[in-house]
Amino acid sequence: MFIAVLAIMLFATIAIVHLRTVEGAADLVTNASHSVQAMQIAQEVLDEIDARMMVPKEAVGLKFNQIDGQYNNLERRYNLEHYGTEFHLIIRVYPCNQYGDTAASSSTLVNKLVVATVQGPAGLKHPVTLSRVYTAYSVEGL
Amino acid sequence: MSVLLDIIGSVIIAGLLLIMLTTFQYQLTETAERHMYAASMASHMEQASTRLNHLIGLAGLGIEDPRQAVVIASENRFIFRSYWDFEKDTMGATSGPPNVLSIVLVEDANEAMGSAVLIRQGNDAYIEDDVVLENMGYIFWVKELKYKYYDLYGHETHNTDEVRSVDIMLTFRREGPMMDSRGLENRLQLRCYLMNTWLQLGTS
Repeated sequence: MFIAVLAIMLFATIAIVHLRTVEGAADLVTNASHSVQAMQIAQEVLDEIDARMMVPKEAVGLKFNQIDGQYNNLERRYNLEHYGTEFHLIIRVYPCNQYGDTAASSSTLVNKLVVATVQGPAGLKHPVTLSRVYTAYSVEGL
Repeated sequence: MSVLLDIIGSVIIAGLLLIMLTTFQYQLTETAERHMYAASMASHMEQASTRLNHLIGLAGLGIEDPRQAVVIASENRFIFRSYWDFEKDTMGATSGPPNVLSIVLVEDANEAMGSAVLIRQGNDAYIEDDVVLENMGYIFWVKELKYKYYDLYGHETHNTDEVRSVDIMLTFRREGPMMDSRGLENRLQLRCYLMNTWLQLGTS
């Protein structure tokens, strides 16, 4: 009887360890897929800023000094019908120098660092962040 | 009698343990292989999205009128003009007609790997006789490809003159690592901007 109880305990322990390993592997796979999708969302919003800055005369155009007003602290929900889940985007805009350093001397902080952070569903273990430095350069007059 | 029962009991327990360990071993092997497949799939998806972003960003390059950049904008095929030579991955001659690039899903692209997105370069909207790009012409493991088009203001459009960005919805599928295992399916949705049409618009 004692041996039978020991055997059941052994079976149960092996089963639990096995299931945890399988679950862990599945989590990693889900995380990888969500990370790729989150990266696309972050890239998309930075490309959107790029594109809008190329048409400053149009109604949708964006000028360098409007980046703060229109994008700082902006939050968007992306309900991706094809992908089948929802992501949350947060954008912050910081003054920075030509290297993207936000802690440099204030007289050199003439550019803007746009940081796009994407948080996702539970399967995304860590938020994905992409950033880009924008300068006052304009396509007007080219 | 009790000795006999003990022996029978221990044989049953040992047998169960062996069956359990064999099953677990099989499952662990499959999980590990699926994990490897999925990791390569994630890397493949990332490469595919980077490539599509790169190609579509060059749509309309050198075309003075951005309304002439897109040739066909339908749900399953996207064809555009550009003076970029995608075959040589360099700027092409601007004196002649522009190159025409098509990004289309083909069901029987490859016997072994099934359907694939084919990227062809030619000089007209008839793509069947065009050359598939040597270095970046195939994106494999794609089961489904759908496009949605947007104008300058982010409104959905079907008018080729107005297309300034495109949503690409991809479903990747790869058979499982073992004979009887489920296939691996992943989805990806990305928006690519036709950057050169925006630039032409801003500088014209």
